Amino acid sequence: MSSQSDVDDKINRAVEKVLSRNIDGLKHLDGLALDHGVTPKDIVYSRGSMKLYHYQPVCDEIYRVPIVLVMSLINRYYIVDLAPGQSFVEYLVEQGFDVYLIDWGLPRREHKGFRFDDYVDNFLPDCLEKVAEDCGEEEVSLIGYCLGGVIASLHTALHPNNKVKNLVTIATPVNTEGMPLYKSWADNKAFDIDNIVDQLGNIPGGMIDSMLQALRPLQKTAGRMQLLDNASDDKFLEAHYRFERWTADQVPIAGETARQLFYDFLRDNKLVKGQLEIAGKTANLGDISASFLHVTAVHDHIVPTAASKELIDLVGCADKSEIALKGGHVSLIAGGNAVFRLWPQVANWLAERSL
Amino acid sequence: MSQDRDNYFMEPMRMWREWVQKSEKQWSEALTGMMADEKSSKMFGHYFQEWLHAQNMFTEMVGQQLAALNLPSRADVLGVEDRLGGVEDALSTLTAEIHQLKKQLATSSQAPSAAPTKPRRTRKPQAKAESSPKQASKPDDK
Repeated sequence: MSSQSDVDDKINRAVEKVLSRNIDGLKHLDGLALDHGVTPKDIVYSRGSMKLYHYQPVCDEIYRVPIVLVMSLINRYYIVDLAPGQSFVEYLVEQGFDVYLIDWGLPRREHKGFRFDDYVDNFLPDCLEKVAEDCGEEEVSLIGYCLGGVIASLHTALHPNNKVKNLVTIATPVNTEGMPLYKSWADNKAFDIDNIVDQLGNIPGGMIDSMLQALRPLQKTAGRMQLLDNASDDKFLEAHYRFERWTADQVPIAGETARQLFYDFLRDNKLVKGQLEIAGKTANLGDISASFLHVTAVHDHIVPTAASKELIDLVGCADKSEIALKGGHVSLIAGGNAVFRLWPQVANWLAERSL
Repeated sequence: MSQDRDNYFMEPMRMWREWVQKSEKQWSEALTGMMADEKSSKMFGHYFQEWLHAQNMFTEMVGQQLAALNLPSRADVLGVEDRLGGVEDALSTLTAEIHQLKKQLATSSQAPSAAPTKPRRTRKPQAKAESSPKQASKPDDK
């Protein structure tokens, strides 16, 4: 008799659980419509698909040196502004920084001829001029995320009279020997990049996504299983949907940029060897004299520590620091724990150097 | 503990889910290792080239059919997308210029009180006495 009631209880509990999960799931069906990039901002400058945003200060007193966030070429910029409370830029603005961000936008067919040189030697300096005009300060702090870190580092190294006072690189690759899968693809001529670029013009975002998925083929599946176990946790679901939407919102990469990165950066590993040429000048990271902070993520599978750790040694300045934080490539900058790990460390480091 | 046992009893798939989650990294690493192998990477490259070729042929073929039916092809839709992107960019340029004009107007305004007050650039870091916030409990190693 009692075993019968036990079974009934278990069935009841199971039914309730399933119902509650489904109701929660329905509530989040419109998850993809969640707002992103909502921290108030103005477009200060626009050139082609590139936009320079200025986030509206919320403090009466801000640090003298403005921050310019240099985003990656293969992701949408709003990973640093996913939602209120889950936004690196919102945090920096609240901490009293004057924050600008470069959104490279979506390259169209007419942009297929953009080379990596253009981003480093043309677009970034152009934006920095506009920042100086807009805020009246010559010096800036650059924060580069992923490939954005490479762009920011190369700009700082290649322009001896640059106005970069502080340089922060986050999950930035420098040595492609530390990225064995991609290096192997490039070394073994697995992909005929010339043929791909000639046929497609720009590299579609979906293809870049597939290449990223190849680094952790089962991660998405495992993530969705974790979702099932957290279906009643609203915060978890919202954060998950935001990440999913950002991951699905892929950015194509300009064809000539992809070709240049494939040969010079990935296959020949020229950056770490000090042989990378940008607009006819050889980039030597030892020429970086700005204060330098290098942040790596311990569980980063896209830019593993082996691919990024040498950057700190290559940079020539005396005031340089390195932080290795728990987290992955994306969660480092936008995960639930970024507010406890990365954001305060970057803000504190910059605060002392932004006077 | 008994609650956990109940859950397992009612939800046998949970054990499997947990196993996949726990072993995902190892499986992913094994698969990635296989893909990095010279033979496999050449095979992927070859497959990709074939796919590209097939896609080109298919696009041409379907394009002709769609043109015969007076329907737009994917290339036509992408052309429209490009033009829309161009219009969006032009709008952004106008928005940026309006922003600059507004700023200049506010600065040169006869009534200084009407101009938005700029924050002072004199902020200093606070003393390091602030306690660091508590760490969130959820793991996040995406």
